[in-house]
Amino acid sequence: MHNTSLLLIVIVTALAFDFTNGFHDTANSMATTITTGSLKPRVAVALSAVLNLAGAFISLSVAAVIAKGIVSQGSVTLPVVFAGLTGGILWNVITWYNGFPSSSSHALIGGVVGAMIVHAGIHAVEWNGVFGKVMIPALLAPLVAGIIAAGAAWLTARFTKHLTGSARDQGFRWAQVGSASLMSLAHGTNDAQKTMGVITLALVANGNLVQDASTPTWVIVACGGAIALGTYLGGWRIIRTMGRALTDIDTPQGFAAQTSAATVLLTSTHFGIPLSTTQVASGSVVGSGIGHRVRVRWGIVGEILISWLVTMPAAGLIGAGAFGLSNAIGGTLGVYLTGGILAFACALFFGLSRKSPVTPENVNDAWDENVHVLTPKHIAA
Amino acid sequence: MNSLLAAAASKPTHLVDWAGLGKVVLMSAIAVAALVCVVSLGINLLTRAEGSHGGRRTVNSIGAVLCLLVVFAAVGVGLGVMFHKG
Repeated sequence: MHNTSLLLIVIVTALAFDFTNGFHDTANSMATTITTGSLKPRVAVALSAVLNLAGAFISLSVAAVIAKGIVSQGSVTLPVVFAGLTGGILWNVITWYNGFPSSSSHALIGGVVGAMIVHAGIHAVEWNGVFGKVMIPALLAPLVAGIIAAGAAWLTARFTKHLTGSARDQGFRWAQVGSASLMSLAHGTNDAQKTMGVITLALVANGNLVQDASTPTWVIVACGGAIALGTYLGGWRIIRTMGRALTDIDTPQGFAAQTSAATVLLTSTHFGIPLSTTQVASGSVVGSGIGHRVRVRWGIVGEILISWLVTMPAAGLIGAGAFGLSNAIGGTLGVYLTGGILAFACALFFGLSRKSPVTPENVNDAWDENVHVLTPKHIAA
Repeated sequence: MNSLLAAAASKPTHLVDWAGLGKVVLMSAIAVAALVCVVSLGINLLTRAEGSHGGRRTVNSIGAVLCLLVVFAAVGVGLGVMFHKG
């Protein structure tokens, strides 16, 4: 079954999701590096972008699947993929606008689950997978990373508290840049390949590729480019939340947080346990604050935890709405009109963000001690 | 909702790979502790090298370089994990 115009909008939407994924997740690898002054903001996002691009070309064992183990793969159609991506993109943009570091993967999965429920019914969803791969890890990942980062921050403070001079800060800065770079590279390998899998799946479903065909080079280049571009533009609002709002970070503490996050992620990759980069990175920042015995703003931590639990159902509602709308209008026209509404909604949030802009110039301003909630206005203040 | 709860309750032990998660926690904790110790030791030695002279400075500097090599080896292991991923 060939439908080139439908395939085209699915590919464009997948690349847009990849862009928002990079945009959203720059904070995971670079927020603490920027906060501690280890790298200048623009240098940090440029380095992260290059490493994300490089990561996209590593380990190209791309699986042509979407939300595997969570929805019945036999029921996945191009409109379901499109609606799922719509849910992921819009939730990414909403959380970015509000400064919440939520998981892009969970948003995509939520969107696909919502669309699938409307398309094939609740039985097409594998609920064990929803709980085992998304909801429970959303609570466990930050806890594990937080405990390890707390220990690392405590050890770092204990071993180096008597030191003075430039060698201490310089040493930790370089170590932090190293672990942040490793995390950016790992992000490129994981997240760019996820979108490659979605596009490859769309090409197979449309009959452009045979099952088990290798991913075309243009897909790899496009996905690597989209995630790198998103990373370079930098989700400054989320960088500010992770670097300034959660806790106060100095150089050794930033090193402890970054090293813990990178190690937990790479170890979980090695053992095949899927953990969200965002949740591991956020948990590490909070844990490093606890271990370093500095103030942690628990009100903001609580808000972020709630946003993680809400991510899947919220993206699911958007995905279900997008599928329902495109289905009600019917055909490829329905998908294009829904895509137009998505573009308008994204433009609206970008426009709103200009009223309280966070830029490389103000991303590192001190956090107002009286602010215990995340709102678009307070992030920029 | 009933089907959802039934599905969740039917295979409670398979929801999360607890053994795998335990390995992640253990290995991460060991690796992070080791890395933090090595980096801190290296920075300690580097700081001492800045404030010393002669043979002591050389010994401290060599120690710092050795720590750096251990960190590079750890980065190499991290890269290996990425290259050999699924």
